[in-house]
Amino acid sequence: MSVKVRALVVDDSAVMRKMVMRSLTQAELADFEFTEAADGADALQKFQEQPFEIAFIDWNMPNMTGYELVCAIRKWESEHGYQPIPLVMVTSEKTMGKMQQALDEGGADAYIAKPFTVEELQSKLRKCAARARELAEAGGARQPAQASSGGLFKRLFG
Amino acid sequence: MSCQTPPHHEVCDTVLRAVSDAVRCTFEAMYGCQATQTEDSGPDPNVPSVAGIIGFVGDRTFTLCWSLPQGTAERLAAHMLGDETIQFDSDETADVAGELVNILAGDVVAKLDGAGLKVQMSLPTIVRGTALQLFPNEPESVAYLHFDSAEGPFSIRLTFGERQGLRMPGA
Repeated sequence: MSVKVRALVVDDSAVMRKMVMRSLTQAELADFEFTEAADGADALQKFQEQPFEIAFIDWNMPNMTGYELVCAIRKWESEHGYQPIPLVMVTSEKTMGKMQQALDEGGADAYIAKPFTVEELQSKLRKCAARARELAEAGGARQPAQASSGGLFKRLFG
Repeated sequence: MSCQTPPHHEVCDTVLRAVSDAVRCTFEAMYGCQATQTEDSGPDPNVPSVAGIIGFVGDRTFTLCWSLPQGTAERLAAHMLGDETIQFDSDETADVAGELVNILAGDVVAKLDGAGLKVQMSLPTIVRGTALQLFPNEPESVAYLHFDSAEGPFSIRLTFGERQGLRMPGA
């Protein structure tokens, strides 16, 4: 029986959250258990209150952008010594500059451009989903990063 | 930046081409069917519509309004959500209009970038009503693009702002 992967889906559009969840389920990348957040502040609060193994974050949101949320999550993980989870930007932006900034400076792991197909999710998110499953199988992402002596942290980020 | 941009009419033509191409690409990717540009007068303006509006600033300042008549909006929302019971007045049709124009705008930004024009897009705003209009500063700076598709007709209204582009934040 496959382990549940707790996924946080962040988008100010309820329709888009539903589409992302439906597409991810169809892509069968993992046995996801979804939690929704309608903006960056809501997402950050949920992230701090409960563990997730992966997050899908809209880029273009009011108040707190997806990029700012990625930075805030990475800062919080670092401050608490937790393992970084895969963060996937979901965006309608198709110019590479911003996406590269999110990947290089913000600490996001991947991005998918809207509109996307199930096949694109499968090909672009295979590595992120595999990492999320490993985190879930290892007991969740809230294991201290330095305690992962089994080499998971090294394999993922080393 | 703006001093290097081509003359006004050339930029408008470039924007129109980018929007027209982006509509076709977005529609085919989202709905798996073609949106065909038509030369007719577009959907009946007296039919209730929901519209997604996005502003662009940069080398050119313009506003894009994607207007979906009631029947088209209901079919697109039903298709997108897999739910045939969605009503025009629901939050879902507004959300779909916002998401569609947001995705379209992202493609427009990329296509303009490829044509050498740098613009940034705003967050979408959603409006409902009949005979929806965006009023320009200069009457000649309005363009309409009408489309037909298997999901129904729809139209795009582009309103160009001042001829000199607004500088993007951080540029």
